This record gives sequence, structure tokens and C-alpha cells, in this order.
Amino acid sequence: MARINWYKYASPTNFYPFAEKMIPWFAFPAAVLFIVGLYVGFFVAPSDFQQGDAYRIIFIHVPAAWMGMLLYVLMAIYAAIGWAFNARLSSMMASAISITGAMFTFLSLVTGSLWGKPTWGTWWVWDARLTSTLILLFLYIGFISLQASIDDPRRADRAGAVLAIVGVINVPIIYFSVQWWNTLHQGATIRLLGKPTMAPPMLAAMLIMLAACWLYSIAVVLVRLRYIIIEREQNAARAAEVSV
Amino acid sequence: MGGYAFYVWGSYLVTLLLMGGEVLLLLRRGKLLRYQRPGIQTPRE
Repeated sequence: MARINWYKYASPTNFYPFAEKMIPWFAFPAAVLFIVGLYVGFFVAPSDFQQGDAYRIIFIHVPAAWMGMLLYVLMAIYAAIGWAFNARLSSMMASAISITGAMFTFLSLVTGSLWGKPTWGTWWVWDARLTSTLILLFLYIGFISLQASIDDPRRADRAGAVLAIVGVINVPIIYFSVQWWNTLHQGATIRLLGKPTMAPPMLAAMLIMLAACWLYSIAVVLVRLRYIIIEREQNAARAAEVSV
Repeated sequence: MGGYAFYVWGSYLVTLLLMGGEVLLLLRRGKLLRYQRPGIQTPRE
């Protein structure tokens, strides 16, 4: 059996064509799953007996909130690997993830606000879950701004890695906030151990939308990573030419 | 939508705008890269 040399793909130059091949494998299934998830969410899942149809915001709100947290953890891991092992591709991956993670965190806040108004009677409250999610958005913005403000990519990666690693402490705080503090936000609907408290069609729609968001994120991050590789490699080549 | 149409459709409209916006910005960035560096296809070239 032919063995794949995975180390080969740690090089941006080798990963670039590989990423190009992988993008359609994530983008098209993402589009299909979005359509299926929305169909199940709007036409198969019944209305909630308490919240009526307002609960249907859950099909985008919960996947967006999960993606915001998971992408942050992933970004911090890549940033840490890039910093510890001087792996350029890992640092580039962290940069590529940051914008999509920020987008999902912002989306979770906006959709949460749109859900909060009809159910809680307010657009926003300074409760633990909402405030810690807002801090997550600020961490993403801080990471993106910090990287953009430093010209030398290596220094920018190191500075970003420190912020990403320190900020990762906020993720368990977001997750457990509904247990640690009295909040308006409802508790976890799905737990790793234990039965979900949702009807099966509702749960199915939410999980399909989550899978769609994952595939979308991978496709978009790979496209952005390719652009970052081009920009950085070309800038490095240009800098080498100038110094010669 | 039982009186919740604004909130439900509003949520999905924001989703469409953000995700669509992200994809459009990426396409624009790719176009700009190709325009600024016409000969460039991959970092190797």
C-alpha cells in the first residue's frame, strides 16, 4: 500500500494545489446540506408548543454559536503549532480561520438578539452567556487587527498566537456560563452524555445545518488560505529580490 | 410564522448577507490577486 507523506503538506507550496482540489469536495456538499437542513427545519419540524415558529431561529443560531467557539479553539491550536514549531502553514491557517470564526460569532449574536426580542422581550441583556460571546467576538477582532497591524508576517503570527492562546480560556466560560451563573439564556439542549431535549426532526435539522456550516467553513477557509499563501510567498520572494 | 416572521426571516436574511458577503469578498480578493499579479497561478510559478 502506498504511504502518504503527510509532512509534505506542511509546506505551503505543496498544500496550495492540494487545497485547490479539496475545495469543491466541501463547497458542494455544504450547499446541498444547507438546502436539506432548511427544508427539514421549515417543512418537516413542527412548531414549538411554547415558542411557536420563533424557535426556528435555532437552526442557524446554535450552529453559528458552536462554529464561533469551535473555530476559535481550532484557530488557537493552529496558532500555537505555528508558534511552537515555526510552521508557517499553521500560522496561515489560523489567520484564514479567524475571519470565518468572527463572522459566525457575530451571526450568533445577531440571531440570538432576533430570538431574544420575541421570547425574552429584549434585544440584549448583559448576562453571562451573551457577554462572554461578545468577548469572543472582541478576541477575534483583536486577533485580526493585531495581525493586520504588524508588517512582518512572522512577528504578526507570534503576536496573534499569544492572543489566541490566552483567549481560549473564554471558550469553556461561554459553554459553562449557563451552569455557573443564573442567566436568561436557556441551558444546553444537547449534551455529549445524555438524551437531547428536542424532538427528532428539530434535532435532525439543527445537526444538518451544523454539518453544512462545518463544510462551508472548511471550503471558505481553504480558499482564503490559498490567497494568504500567494500573498505571503510572493511578498517573501519580492523581499528576497530587493535584498539581493 | 405566527407573528414571528420578522425575527425568523430577519435571522436567515442576516445569515445570507454575512455568508454571501464572505464568499463575494473572497471572490473579489482572488480577482484582485490575479489582476495585481497576472502571471501568478501557484506559489511555485
